[in-house]
Amino acid sequence: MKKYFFVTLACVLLLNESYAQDSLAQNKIHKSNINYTPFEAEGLIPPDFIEEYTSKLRGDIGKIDESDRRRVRKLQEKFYTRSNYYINQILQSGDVIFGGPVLDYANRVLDVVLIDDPKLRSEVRVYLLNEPYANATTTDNGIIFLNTGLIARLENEAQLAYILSHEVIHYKNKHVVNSYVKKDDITSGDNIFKKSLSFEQKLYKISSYSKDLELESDKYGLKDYYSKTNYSLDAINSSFDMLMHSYLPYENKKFEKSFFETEAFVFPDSYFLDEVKAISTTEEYDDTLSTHPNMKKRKESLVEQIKKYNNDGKQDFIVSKEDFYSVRDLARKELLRLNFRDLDYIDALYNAYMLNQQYPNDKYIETSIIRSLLLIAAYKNDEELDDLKSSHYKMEGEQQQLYYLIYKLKGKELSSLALKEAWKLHKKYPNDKYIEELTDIAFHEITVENKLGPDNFIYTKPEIIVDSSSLDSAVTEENGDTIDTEGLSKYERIKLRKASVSKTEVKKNKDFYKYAFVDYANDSVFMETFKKIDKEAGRRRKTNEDEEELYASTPFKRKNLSLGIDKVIFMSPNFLRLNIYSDDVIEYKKTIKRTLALEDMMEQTAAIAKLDYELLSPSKFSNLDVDKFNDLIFLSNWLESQLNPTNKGVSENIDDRINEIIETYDTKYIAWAGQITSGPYPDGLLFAFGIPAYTHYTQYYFFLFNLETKEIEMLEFYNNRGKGRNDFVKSRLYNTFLQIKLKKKGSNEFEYNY
Amino acid sequence: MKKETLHKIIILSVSTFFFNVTTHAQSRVPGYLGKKDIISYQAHLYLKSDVQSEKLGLLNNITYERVLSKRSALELSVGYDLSTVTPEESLNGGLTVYPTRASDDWSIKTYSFGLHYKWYNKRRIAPLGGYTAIGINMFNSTPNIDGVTFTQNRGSGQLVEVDFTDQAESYTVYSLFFGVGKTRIIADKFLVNYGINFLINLSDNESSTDNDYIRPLMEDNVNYHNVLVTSFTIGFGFLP
Repeated sequence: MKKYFFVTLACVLLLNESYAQDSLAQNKIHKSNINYTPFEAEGLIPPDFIEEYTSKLRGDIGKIDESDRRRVRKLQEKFYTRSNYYINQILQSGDVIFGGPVLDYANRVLDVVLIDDPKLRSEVRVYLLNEPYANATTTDNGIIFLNTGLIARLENEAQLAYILSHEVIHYKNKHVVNSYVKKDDITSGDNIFKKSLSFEQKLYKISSYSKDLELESDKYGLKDYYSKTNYSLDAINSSFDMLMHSYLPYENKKFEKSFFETEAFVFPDSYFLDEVKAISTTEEYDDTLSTHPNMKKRKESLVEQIKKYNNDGKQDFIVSKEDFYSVRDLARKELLRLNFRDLDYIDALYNAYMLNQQYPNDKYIETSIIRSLLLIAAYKNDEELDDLKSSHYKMEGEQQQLYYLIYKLKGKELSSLALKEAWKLHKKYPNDKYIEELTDIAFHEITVENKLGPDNFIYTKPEIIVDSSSLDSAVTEENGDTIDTEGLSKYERIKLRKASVSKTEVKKNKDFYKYAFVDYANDSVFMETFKKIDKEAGRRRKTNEDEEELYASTPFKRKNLSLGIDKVIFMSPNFLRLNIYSDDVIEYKKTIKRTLALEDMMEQTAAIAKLDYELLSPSKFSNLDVDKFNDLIFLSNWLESQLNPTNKGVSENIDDRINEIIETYDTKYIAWAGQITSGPYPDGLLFAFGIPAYTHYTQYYFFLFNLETKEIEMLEFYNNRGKGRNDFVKSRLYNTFLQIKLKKKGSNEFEYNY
Repeated sequence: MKKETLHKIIILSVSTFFFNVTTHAQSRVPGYLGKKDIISYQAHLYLKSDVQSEKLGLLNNITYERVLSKRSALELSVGYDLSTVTPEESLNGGLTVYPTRASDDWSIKTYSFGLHYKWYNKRRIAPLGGYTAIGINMFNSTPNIDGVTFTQNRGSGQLVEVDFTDQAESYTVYSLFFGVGKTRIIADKFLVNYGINFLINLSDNESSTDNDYIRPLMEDNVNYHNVLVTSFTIGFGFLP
């Protein structure tokens, strides 16, 4: 009891500390977080990830209450068929993490929340969903997904505890499955809802029901669990506020232009807004068709209830304040990576800027700044910035300043800025290959995309530079306002006037970017590199070498390859069975069954073709295969980025991870196969004669990637009539595998004998 | 799989269907999983003529197929058919011949040999999928009247028993073979195929025999070939 008292006292004291002390604490944690690595799963693989779909489905269907009406039972069965499929998809998407410090912490908080309900605690599992927006989701089978974006935005542990309390009620009261049944009741017009309801009325009813469930979770989350803990009741309303502002960055930090400016490189004033748009604070927004009630209603619904409980001695932290900040910072760094993944490069720059204030020497954050600048510059140079989230009009708060600056900066200005910053970092970490690579890209953007060479830049400082205080006075004076020059000598007054004019010239100078490399004027390595790259760029521009190379390497022209590859990593294949007349389109059971069959076929056929392989698929993993699981996640994300070539060649720093995989599996090739069968489509000719004949079509595709060169070594794509029977797929796979395995005729190497 | 990827795949799938991308199968090594030899049994079913006792005839074939390239194969077939015939009462002008005992149907025994070249569908790899075959068939038919006693009605109630034993002559026809069908492979080892065949007789349809008694029998033989012009195939094969 005494111990508990001291712990409580310590927590209360910590609560009363200033924000500055929080920052100090974070800086302390920072030292241990320098070596950030992307989130990976840890520990044993939970059954949710590897248990077969059919067995999960059987389990869920077994739970259906036999006393329910037949229609409800059927609906529930349909729901479980569907939800298990999608949960499987999410779990195996590569975006869900189990284990690791963030989830360890979240589980400890959940332990506190459910301390009086061990049965429920044993049923609920928490996983991290690597998505940037703030959200938590609960499934009907007891999984709570906490988004990385949510963890990054939390202000304290108590907020997490309340969110978990809320989510637990969704599971306990079977909200997900009940919503499904209710939705069907409403839309199909059965039960008390009449078919006469209009579409809008039905939507309204569905939305109302959903909102009722949210309020129920708010209420019972508080009553049954949260109120029984020692967490502060203040966190309830603050968590609503946090969620309401979750569309904003996790902090509203002012973007200082001095972050990028130097004495000589000064942005024009017109590149900055006088005032940024204020953050909206309306709690009573229109929630008519929303699934969640607006924040005002949520807060009001709990006002009376909260009053019943005493908040004295309640705390924001019970498990660990230090761990909270540690995991939140991890989440914020991960969020930065997700910004890149989701092409939110300006958000990435802003988040990196904020993290840099906190961790000024964190290499990951520093390189992220360069990477985001390069990507934004590349999009700007290609006049594709509109493809990204880039509109400053829609932004609120301090981030708008950065969005506006990006909007105003021209391609060559951004490219100059990117190179300036990249070279600075290169000098700081001269042996870092990745930074060197980024610097090369920055040179490329300048020399090739903007056709600028060293001669296009100025390497001496502008004539007179004044400090900001006199500058402000000068500008003020130029704008017609008077400044107090009383007491100044004539010479001083002239000097002030001259300085103000010169500075104004610099500030208004359209060519301000030309001063980007003034600080490198005496850096012979920079100058030589710049000249050399510019010379090469000039030659490439003349011969259009890039385009020629591009066409030469197009894999679509190749036929019957002989790649001579001995071993390949097979990614879990993708299979889809689509019924175009079905409500759900996807035929879940057949899709899962055929996915597993496709895996088996790949294994069997590779064995026949004598191609060595490693199949990375959750269905083949045991609970000890966490390393393989992480490799699968990494490769899935890598493939995703390769198939969406939107990174303009500015890739993530993953070479070490790739080398690790190449070493582990003794191959640098990964293969991804898939098959989509859709139908039934009317069979043209017979249908034209009035015969109701239908047919299916099957698309089969196969990619082989080289992890080292990041190139597609092989691409096969076929479209066929029919449902893609085993013999068809196997014959395709066999020929594909032979093309991978066989060596070229006439080569000195041994020709495989078939 | 991510939602975005799923959407892309669905869009790709649907757009591919509508644009109807024609893709040709590539084959590094001919055959199904490298298996180039197929031994199969094929039943050629045909509708019999009125003179034959069953409505459905069956020409049994044992075939050997060798895959030559990604789309082509050569097929050798040996066939056998024993077709029962109920002779018409009056077969030749003025002279009526019929089996003495009503149960004494006689039969035509046929051997066939075929050599076919098969082209497989451009989107599949031989021996899988749809195919078109063209080739030559040789049919050798012999009426089997051993042990059958015939009665000849010479008019005015004069019935004479005649014995045609050893007088039946074989009849050989060369035909151009044309077939279309589909092949499926089950469990990597077994093959099922179905199709339709057409024959164009290259030989004379007339019997060459001068034997007045035998000639009518031979005409049935010719009839047999006429009904074999169209047949349906069902086959079961094995890929060793």
